[in-house]
Amino acid sequence: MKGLILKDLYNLSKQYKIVLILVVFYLVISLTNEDSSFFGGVVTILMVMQLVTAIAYDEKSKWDRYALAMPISRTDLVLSKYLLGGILLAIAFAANFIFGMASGSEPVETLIISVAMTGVGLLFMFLILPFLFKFGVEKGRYIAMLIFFIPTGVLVIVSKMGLQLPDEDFMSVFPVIGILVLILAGIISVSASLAIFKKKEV
Amino acid sequence: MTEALKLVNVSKHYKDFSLKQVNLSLPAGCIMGFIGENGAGKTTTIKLILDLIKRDEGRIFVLGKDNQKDLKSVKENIGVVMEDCFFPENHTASSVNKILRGIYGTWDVNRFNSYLRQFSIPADKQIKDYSKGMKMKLSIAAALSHDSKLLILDEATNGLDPVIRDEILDVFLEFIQDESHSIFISSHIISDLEKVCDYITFIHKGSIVFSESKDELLNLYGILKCSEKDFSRINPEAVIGYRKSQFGVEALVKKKLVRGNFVIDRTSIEEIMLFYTNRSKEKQLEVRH
Repeated sequence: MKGLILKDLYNLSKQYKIVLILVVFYLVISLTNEDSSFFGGVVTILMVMQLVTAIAYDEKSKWDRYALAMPISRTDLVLSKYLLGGILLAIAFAANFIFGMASGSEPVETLIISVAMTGVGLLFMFLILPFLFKFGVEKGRYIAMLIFFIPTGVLVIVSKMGLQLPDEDFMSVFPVIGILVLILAGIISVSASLAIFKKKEV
Repeated sequence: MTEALKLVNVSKHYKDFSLKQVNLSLPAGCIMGFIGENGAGKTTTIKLILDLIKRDEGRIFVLGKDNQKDLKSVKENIGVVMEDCFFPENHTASSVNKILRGIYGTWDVNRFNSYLRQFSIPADKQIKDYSKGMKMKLSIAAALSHDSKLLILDEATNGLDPVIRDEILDVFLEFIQDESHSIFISSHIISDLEKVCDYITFIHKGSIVFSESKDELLNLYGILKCSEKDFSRINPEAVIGYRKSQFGVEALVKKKLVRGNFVIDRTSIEEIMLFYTNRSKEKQLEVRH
């Protein structure tokens, strides 16, 4: 497993220049618009997209075929992608938190926003990974965009309709619901990915 | 464990191609060449051995273990080299060293480095800038740098110049010096296989035509050249296939079955394969008429 993560990180490290430029770009936009959540959201999505890029590298070099001839099981291959996603989102979380603190927000508020963003990132990852395992990166990218835009679109429409904000009680329960949803989504996602990949002809 | 590789009645069905009842057995310490035309089923067979695709029937044993139950335990001892180089192209030999060290329990960093030196592979050049020969040598270095007991090679020497091929064959011969090591190599560069193999398995359109020791094959078969008139007098069951030329007939025969006084020349594995392949083409033509 360690070798797999190393390979992915090495692949992605080649991209660091592009990622750095994008990060600086969004940083500037965020600062000039005084909207710290924009930066946080973008960095999180960027990290999830890096995960997709890592899978694309594998596909291009037909890595899976070679990997399965090594002491690596199909389970290892699947779990290594979730682990990589976790590592990337941890980086996003750190970036989020640091940025939040640096732009002068309160620590607790920054923490909550960073956690929430990372939670959304994890959810997004849980949703798209089974599709990527099933359909590959080419088709998977379209599905990933759909999964991202549909809920975002719904949220935008809902907010435009001017509904009342949920009350205090709901807001205090929300984190617990959020965590439960995340755990459930994680379990379903990993089980689905394992089932899909075990049958895949490589 | 006496057999490095054993396939029993293995079948795999696709829409327009089937692998049918494949049986083969590679004794430990030997090299088996796996020959056949393009599309005959060589790569499919190898993918089945490595459980990359699921078989429909039969059983496969790799280093004595059932490949659907215990394969992970023997993968440490299998070295695989395929035609394409599977390392991502922006990696280097040193990054490959680090990655494989984190995957194989028996990875030997020093052995890998010494193979890199032997093959003149620079440690920090990106794989996308390698020549085809270098990519192949890197794959072979990787396959030999952990505790491999069975080397599986799928068209590994395609597209390589004769000098590199010779170098690589020497490396294989060195590998096989250890009696617990075996090699299963598929290729259609039959001259290479003839140099090193103990056994030859010939697959044609998804079925095994023969799986024999190379020496047996060369003793069993021969090339008979004669006139058409003489050829008509030869008992048909001795003839595998024949070619007509302006000088007469050239036929592949089973030496012991030929009755009469004919001169039979030594044949080669390549000729055996060609005559067998032509025979099936003729049978196809017959069926159509």
